Amino acid sequence: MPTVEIDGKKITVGQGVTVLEAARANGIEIPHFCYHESFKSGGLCRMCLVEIEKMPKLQTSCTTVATEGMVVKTTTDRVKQARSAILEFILTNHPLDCPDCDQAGECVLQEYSHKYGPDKSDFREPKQLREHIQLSEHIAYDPERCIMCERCVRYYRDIVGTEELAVMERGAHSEITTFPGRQLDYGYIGNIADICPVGALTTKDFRFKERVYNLRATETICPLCEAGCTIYVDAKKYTVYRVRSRSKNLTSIHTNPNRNVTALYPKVFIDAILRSSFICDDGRLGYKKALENSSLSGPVNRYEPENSTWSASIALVVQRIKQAGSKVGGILSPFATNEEVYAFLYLIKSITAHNSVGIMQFPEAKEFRESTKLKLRKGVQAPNLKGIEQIAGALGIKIVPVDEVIASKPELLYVLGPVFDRMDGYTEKIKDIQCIVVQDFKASAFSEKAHVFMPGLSFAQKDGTYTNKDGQVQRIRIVVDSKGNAKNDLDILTDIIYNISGKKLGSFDNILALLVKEIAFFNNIDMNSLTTGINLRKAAGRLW
Amino acid sequence: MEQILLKNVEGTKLADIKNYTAAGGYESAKKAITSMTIAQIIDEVKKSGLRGRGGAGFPAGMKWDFVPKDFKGPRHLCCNADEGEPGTFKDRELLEKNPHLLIEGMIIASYAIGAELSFIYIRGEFVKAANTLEAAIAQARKQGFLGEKIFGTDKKVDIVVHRGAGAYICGEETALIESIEGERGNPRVRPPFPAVVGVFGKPTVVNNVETLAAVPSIIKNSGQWYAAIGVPPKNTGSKLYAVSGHVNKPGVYELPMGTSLKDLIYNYAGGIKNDKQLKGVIPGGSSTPVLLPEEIGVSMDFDSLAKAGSMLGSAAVIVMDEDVCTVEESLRLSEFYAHESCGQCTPCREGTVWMTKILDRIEHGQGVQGDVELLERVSANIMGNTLCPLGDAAAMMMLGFLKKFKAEFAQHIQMKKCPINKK
Repeated sequence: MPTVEIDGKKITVGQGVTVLEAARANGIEIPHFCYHESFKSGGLCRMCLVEIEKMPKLQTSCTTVATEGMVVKTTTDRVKQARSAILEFILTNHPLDCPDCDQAGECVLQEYSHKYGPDKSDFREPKQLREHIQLSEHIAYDPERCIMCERCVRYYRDIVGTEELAVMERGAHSEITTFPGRQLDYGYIGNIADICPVGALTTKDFRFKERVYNLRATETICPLCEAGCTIYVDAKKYTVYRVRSRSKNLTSIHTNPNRNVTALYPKVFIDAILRSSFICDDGRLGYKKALENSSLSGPVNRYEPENSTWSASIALVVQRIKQAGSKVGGILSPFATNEEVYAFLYLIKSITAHNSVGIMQFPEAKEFRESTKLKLRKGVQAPNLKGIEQIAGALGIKIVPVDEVIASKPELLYVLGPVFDRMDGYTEKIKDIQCIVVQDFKASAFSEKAHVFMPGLSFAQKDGTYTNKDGQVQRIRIVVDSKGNAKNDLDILTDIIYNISGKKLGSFDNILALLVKEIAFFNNIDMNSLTTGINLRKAAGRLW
Repeated sequence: MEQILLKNVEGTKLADIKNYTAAGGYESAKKAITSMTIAQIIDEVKKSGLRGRGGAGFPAGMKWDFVPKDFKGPRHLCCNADEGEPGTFKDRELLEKNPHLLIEGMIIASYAIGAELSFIYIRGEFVKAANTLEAAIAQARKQGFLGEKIFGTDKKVDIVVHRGAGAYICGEETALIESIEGERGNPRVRPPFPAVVGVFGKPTVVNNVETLAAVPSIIKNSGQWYAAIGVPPKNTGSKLYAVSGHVNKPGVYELPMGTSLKDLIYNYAGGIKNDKQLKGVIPGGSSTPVLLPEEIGVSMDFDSLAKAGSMLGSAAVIVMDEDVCTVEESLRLSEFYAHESCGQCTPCREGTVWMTKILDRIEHGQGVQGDVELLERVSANIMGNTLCPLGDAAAMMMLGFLKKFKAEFAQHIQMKKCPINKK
């Protein structure tokens, strides 16, 4: 383990760790554009030049491996001069169109120009003008803003493995492009907009929609498949504008013993690191389907439409459940949070003394293309199937197909959504059921048949946890406030339970604490780590 | 001095293997392969003091020695025949007229570093030279000098000619390696150096044509013999000087290392054309800083030129007479570097273009006060901050012209036109 000195601070690092990574892991900022923790450094932008004792020239810290006794200086006049020079060079042909660039506010070039750049430029020549290129229907490339860090090219080469992007032309005419006549294939396109340090790559989804500094970023989990990728959802007031990837844990790459710096391209990437840096296009662009909220006018009571208030609806459901007794059938959506699942199963088991629950079938989350090296999608296109299995298992409740629940001819069918279109096929089969209760954040063909419909919240409007395919319990958070007359799903369930049995399950926190206490799978959760995800297999110290 | 590299190249058709072997060709390779150990060969080359003729002047024997001895698997030798620096045309002479000398040198070098497959990366425009080389390699293969079991031993050496596609940057050794691999010819970050990770990830030695062509004579006559030529101990052997520009007899001259520049221009190259006055000389290819007439007493070797603030480089001497406008000349060279920059790294990509734009303004009467200082600043900001030496080359050239001809630049700006009366 070599020890290096950076700006007077002694730092011990792993074999093969670069100076930049060593500095970064220890809170010393070395500005950089082309370095990215997920792929091989190019030494291209020259922004990370530092002074190293016994070396006559400044060295790129992103490619220089830290060795024993190395003395690095990042704040000398020479280094400052070089940084300022590089920024001045980059800005010679940069349009400086920050007022209409989407990146403004989170632009690395903008930030570094303020911090390290010269306050004026002697460049008096006309700037190069260039045309936009549509790399795919989802992504546009603006060569004028491009600083040629080639992160996107290396992403497609090292991470996706399909090499769909390349640099064409040479010198100042260089630009990023696809094979002539081809566009980027859907699947993992959106990530290049995330990793672009400037505004050269922008998604159609977000372009010109909102200034980033007006948005609030919330750490949450992508609900569109069982991989449970960590994301930021950027929102303002009631509107979600954008989904981005969220890095989980960068320090692991600094200590990864498998990294081989002498190899041309690093061969080994830990799945988790990739997962934290990148998300798929469905997650990035398809979030709207899990958001739109079209049933906000409050509960619908089809027995007494004029009496469609919350209190009346809940009272009705309570009364009907009491009547039905053990003849209650329950169907769960794998979009429900662990806490909702617990409350729902508590209702089924403790109150109706039933011991099985139906789970809606969601389509498998297939990879978009077989040719990609990056394979993030897992399980089905819903976030919490694993969570349901675990909690049901712990409570001794059997999971059965939806058909079986309906075939058992319940007097009351309680469906906890979101349903989407997954129950559309049952609209005929449920005709004989006397009372159908549906709880969902939006209306569906199925909910039209419900006798009582209670509007809940989408994943972006509530707190909770999801358990992904790998068994990690991860936290979702309130991203946007709910408007209208919808109610938190968990509150609806606990209200009903309280009104039937007098049992107070409490709020999200109480139930999570209960889960941690009562259910083995939730043992030893560090509540703080739920922000970033925790591997329960490791935490519980056993295999399951 | 007796010529070593260009001996008998005129008239005797050395490109034909019959004529080459009749003059004692391939005897050195045979000697090396059949009777010398690898250590002996490297030792002999080290003793000769042979330094790389491509420009940097790195000792050849030491470079061969850098190849990891314990590496299991193939290693490669690459001959850099991508001669593209403005003013440089010495290697073409060898490639077209004496290809077997290069092949013989490569056989010895390949054996010395343990390479069984070697490459000649040749500039794409050198069609004649490439064809000549291919024919010569076929002849050598037929004679059993190349291929399996060379010279009746169990050793194997073969050579592949790889033609470039027109990028100057591919003469930079790591870009050359990328190009051989079929990638875009972009320079790689070093370390790792080619001696450790080179062609297809294998240890690789990249040598210039002239360097490799000098090897057979060293094996034949001993390193000591070679080291006695030129300016021992550090600047030994013969050197090909490519003289171009305003001289009466431009061409390639093989002379001992350390011949004086004055001698080269006035004696060998026949003096300045039309009896004009000498204005400046670029001594080692377009990137090396220009010298003034009063500086041409300098000995043309690595160390003396470095001391004089320039470089021997590829020893491509560009002679400029009094009618040359140095602003125009530096503009022309700056355009070349901007055009040939690969575009990977920021200072070279943006800096060379910026430099060209300023020079273009000055030359065309639109220079403003402060432009000279700006040029100096831009060049200094490129210098030492780039990924490969191309950016340094452009900056070095520019700083050279600014240092020696600052008054002429200032005059352009002041008069708002080019003061030189051009034909």
